[in-house]
Amino acid sequence: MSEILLNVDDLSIVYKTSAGEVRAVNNVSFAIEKGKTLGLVGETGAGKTTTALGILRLLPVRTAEYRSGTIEFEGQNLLALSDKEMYGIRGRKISMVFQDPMTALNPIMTVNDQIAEAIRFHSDGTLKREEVDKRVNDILELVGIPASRKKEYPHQFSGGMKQRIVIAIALVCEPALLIADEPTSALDVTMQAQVLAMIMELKKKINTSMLMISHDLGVIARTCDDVAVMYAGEIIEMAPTDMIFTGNRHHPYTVGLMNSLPGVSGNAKRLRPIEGMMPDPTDLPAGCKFAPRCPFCEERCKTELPPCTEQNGHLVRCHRFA
Amino acid sequence: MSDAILEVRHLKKYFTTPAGALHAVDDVSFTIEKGKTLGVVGESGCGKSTLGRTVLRLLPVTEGQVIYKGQDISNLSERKLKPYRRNMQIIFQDPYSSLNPRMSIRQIIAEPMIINKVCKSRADLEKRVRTLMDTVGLSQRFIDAYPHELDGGRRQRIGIARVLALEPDFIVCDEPVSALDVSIQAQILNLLMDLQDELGIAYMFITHDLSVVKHISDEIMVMYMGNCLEVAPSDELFRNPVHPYTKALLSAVFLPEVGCVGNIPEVIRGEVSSPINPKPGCRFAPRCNYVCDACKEPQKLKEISPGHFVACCTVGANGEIGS
Repeated sequence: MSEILLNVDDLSIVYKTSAGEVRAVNNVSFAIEKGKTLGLVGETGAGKTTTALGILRLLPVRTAEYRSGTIEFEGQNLLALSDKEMYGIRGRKISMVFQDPMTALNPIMTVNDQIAEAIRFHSDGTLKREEVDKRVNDILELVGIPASRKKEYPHQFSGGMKQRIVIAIALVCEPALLIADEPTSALDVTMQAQVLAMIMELKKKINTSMLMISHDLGVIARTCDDVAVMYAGEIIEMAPTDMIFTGNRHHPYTVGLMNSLPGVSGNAKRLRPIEGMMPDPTDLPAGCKFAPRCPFCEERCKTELPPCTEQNGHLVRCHRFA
Repeated sequence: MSDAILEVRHLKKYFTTPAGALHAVDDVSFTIEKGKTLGVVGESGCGKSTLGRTVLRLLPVTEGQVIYKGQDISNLSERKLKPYRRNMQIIFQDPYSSLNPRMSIRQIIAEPMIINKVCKSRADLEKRVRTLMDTVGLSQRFIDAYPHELDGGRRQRIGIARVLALEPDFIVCDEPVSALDVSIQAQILNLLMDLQDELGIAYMFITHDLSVVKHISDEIMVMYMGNCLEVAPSDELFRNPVHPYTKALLSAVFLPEVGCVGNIPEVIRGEVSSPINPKPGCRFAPRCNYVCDACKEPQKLKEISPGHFVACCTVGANGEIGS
């Protein structure tokens, strides 16, 4: 067993809104080992991004509230740290790549200044200008952007190149954990392949662990060691990547998700989508959250929360396998 | 071939920019038959949306012909065009911005029928709106709701109901499912295919998602920087892609497969160059692995097997690259 870097245990997050309490993340637990990648899959509103922002303590202070749980990173509970201590973690030890490269960069700062800002901030101003310059050039080379363009502004770059710059900023301090929130969803397929290949290579080079958030099972299949499937704020299935795609012990939602994909190789003429919609997070069902859409729904599913059961490292939260 | 509903010949659409002419669509030809689907794939900026809009005359045609049921509509006046507008409709990509936020669902779906005076009485109109909501699978309790009250999947269903109101026989679907989650995307794709089976509508299905396009299309056209690089029947294109760009595009699609963790294929390098005043010759050449001197000449589509056309000088008559 290698070392656990991040251990999230029983995490629950709610948003307090005028329409009631939105239960965005419910009793989520997972762990990421050093150098490994965990994929978090789910549809819009499943709580993937809230989980990620929750780890970094970037949630809006006024509305979001941690209801339960701990987030242990390198042995310390992030939820117990002061804001000042968090500054030393965020961007330095845990950094994040956001989904939309168009809005993640400051439009009125040059690329050079944005990367240099991260270096200076996390070195407490001890580095000389030449050293900062050198590190900016090095990281730009790693992400495949000519250093000659570093004095340009974000709008002068294409979407794929902007995302490379965002990744450069995230990795320039060689963090122990990289959280990538849909890093390629805004990009074309050929750019997606380029950017993912680059992330994987850099990750290996600096031995970073990664939390990869995506709704794209194809991306997950190629980048992650383990996968957790989220639905209505819960992890309903978690397993090593290959086991998620094989075997017959699956959560009905995972099965539905797979059946919804129009395959390039498949020949099915009609897709078999999941009927209905995700439940309203202000009014979640009492038992299994998936029960109203589930073809195998029984009486106890409506009232009892199913337990998580494990078999060879494959976790499923469903009464059928309890 | 007499069943052609839409025929496009050497269509060109240039935009004038301060830097010069932007060749958004450059010499594209295709035919769509009744009840069939032509998929148009390409990356952002390749001109696929412009093509869709130009075909519908939502943008003026620079050069070439758009022939709808034997009538060239590329130069018709707005007034003469109006009857054709009824039969040629479009579903937009973004169900959030394509619906008027100040109109209720009832008003949105009724509007095209009121404008075209298809219903005799108010009761008739009401009945038609409700039938349409049924057709697209929208619960009638939403009839007085406003778009902001509904989620993306339902909004897209409104967009479809509105389009069906005038019983068109040709619909341009401009990325109708890209803004939706996979499970909802599957519901909408099934709906579009059911409607095609029942009503015999022809689709021009524009998307960047290759798995979606394979699923829904009879024939697929691959576009790059305003040019058509390859056209083939759907199965043939996926079984036997010939153009280097098509191959790269297909290899860049990640399927949820087993045993490929960490395996990201080498795909094309570099980025799309500028479509403003492009050089003659193959536009993919700067990124192509098989580039040669002949690539500087303008490329013509040639048929390598029945119905399979490709525009690449390195492809021989047998469909092999480099022969």
